[in-house]
Amino acid sequence: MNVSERVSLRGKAVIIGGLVGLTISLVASGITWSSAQSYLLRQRESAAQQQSFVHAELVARAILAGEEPADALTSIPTISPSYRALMKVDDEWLSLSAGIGVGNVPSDLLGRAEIGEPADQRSLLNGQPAYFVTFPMSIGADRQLAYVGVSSLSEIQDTVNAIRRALLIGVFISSIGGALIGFWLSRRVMEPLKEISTTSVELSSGDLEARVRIPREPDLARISHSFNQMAESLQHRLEAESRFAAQAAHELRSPLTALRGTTDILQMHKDTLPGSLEGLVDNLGTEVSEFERMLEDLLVLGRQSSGSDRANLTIRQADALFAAIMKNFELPTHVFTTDLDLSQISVRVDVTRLKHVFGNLISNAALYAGGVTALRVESSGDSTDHPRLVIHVDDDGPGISENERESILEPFSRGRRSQGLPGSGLGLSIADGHLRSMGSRLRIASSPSGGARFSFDLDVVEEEDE
Amino acid sequence: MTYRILLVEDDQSIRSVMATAFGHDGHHVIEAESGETGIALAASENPDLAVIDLRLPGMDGIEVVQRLRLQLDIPLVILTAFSDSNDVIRALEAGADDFLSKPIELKELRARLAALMRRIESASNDEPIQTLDRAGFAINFDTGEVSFDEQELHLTKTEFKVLGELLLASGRILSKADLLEQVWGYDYLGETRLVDTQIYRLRAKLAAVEASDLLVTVRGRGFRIVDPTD
Repeated sequence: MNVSERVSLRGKAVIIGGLVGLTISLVASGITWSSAQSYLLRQRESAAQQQSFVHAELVARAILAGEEPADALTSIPTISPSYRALMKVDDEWLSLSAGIGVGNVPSDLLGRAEIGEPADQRSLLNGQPAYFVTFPMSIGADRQLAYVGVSSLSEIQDTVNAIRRALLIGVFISSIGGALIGFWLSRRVMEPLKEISTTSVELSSGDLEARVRIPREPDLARISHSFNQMAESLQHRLEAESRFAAQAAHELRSPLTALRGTTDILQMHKDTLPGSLEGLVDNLGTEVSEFERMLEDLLVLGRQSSGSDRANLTIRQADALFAAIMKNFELPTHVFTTDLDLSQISVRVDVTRLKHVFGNLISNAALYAGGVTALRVESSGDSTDHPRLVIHVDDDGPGISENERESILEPFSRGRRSQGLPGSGLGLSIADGHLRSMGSRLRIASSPSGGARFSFDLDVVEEEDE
Repeated sequence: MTYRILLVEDDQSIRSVMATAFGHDGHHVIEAESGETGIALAASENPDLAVIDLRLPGMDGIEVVQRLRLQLDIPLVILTAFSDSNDVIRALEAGADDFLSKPIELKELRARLAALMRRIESASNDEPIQTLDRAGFAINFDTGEVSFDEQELHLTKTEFKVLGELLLASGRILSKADLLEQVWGYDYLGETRLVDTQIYRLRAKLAAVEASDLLVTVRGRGFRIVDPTD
């Protein structure tokens, strides 16, 4: 099972909602962050350019007025205390303050300053982001000044970092919000589907009146409405089939009851009949029994096929159940084996159906294989699943070949070992149907002696189930 | 012992066969071909037991059971050819004590009716304990009378037997299989819906004297009577 199959629809909606929220907020935050950063830097660079230009012009005027260049550079005040400047006058580089020299200026920008070309560049100054700008300026008619202004971008960087943190928090909140919206939406969509699922279980467990509420959302209402229509038609169909089966059963069973009764009375008084008629009465009894069995099998098969056959599951103590089975079918005690303490185990079964299943398997074994050689009860052995009891019914007859093991469970199918012997080919199919209605199925394998092994399992009731 | 058996069955062949079989056992069979006739004969012939076909022309078997239950306290057995167990449950809820499915071997039919009659007789004659006062109930196995807090309860013989078994259990849980065996005489593989419907009807009658809470269903295990004084 891959990841997609393991995650529920609701889980997927939450994940998708979260991812959509994350993507949208990441893109929006990225654009916001990038725009804010560009705007703040542009503003800062523009201010730095103006500050540098004003400072350079004041310095140039002071030099022109006769002040020494070094004094002029340091005596003219700057707006920001973190502002740094370098100046080249008469082939000599002068520095406004300590902490900056020619070596701190990016070489490209310095080269442009040397040849008197204006330029600007972002770079690092002592490991901190800074903005460098250079431009030439005339001092009177014959002297030139190359000015380099350096403004710190640390505050801008701090501001941009703060904005980035705020945006990341926003991204996180948006992702959670997206996931919550996904959860809410999935719940809204899943609620009717969940109800459909619950109602399906009710329908399949026999409550044919079960219907779903129609939700307000038109799309979901259509699904619920269609489901109810399907349930309605299923109910009508099953009720019609059930009526037909009841009618057919009545019409066939009533004359058969009279026939059975008449035959029984004849057999009760057999000793008063002429000898030649005794055999005929016995034949009649056999045929009536066979007819009864066929009729019952056909009626059960009809109910199983129509889906109107519901199991009446009750909880039974396993030890009492198997003791009753052994007694009912008069099996010798040595046939029954188990390593389990059945007095501590309860199972959920339809006793009538289970009796039918055992009846079929035991009579088949008697007819085709000389009788049951073992009735073994084991634990399913798989501790991860809901525990089940596994029942094996073995014989030491000719066995059933592997290629017959599936087909023999089909109605009217008869295996090779039954050739020439009476039977309709319905028994195993009906037994399998009964077991399916109890959540199991009939499995066929080889018994340890090479005969046939018929196995099925029963639902064990755990404490919390009771 | 011979009994007067009322047989309400529209199929003449089945009536004839059963009358012959029961007559062979020494019982007197009162035949009725419809529900209306059956009710009239029940009033005039005083039967010990009635076997009623579920599907009858006109008044159906369930209505016959309801009407007979109002006028007689005798075992009512439903004879059904229906596959639908809901009809059987409806008949049991209407007051039937047991059901038999067609086609049925005469041997089994006679054995079932004999067991039913033995049970009824044992409810009134053979109980070693004649009276019992427990959990507010006063039950007399000899006369078949039962009361709760001095209010008389009108129970059918089967309901009386179910309540009696639960009271005799002294608060112990009786499983459906236990009740099936002790009340109906079926083995462990019998039909437990018989028990469900009798418990349902008994609880409804106990509710009339505000005693239904004393009949407790222990999920997955069975039923018991709780004594509030314990």
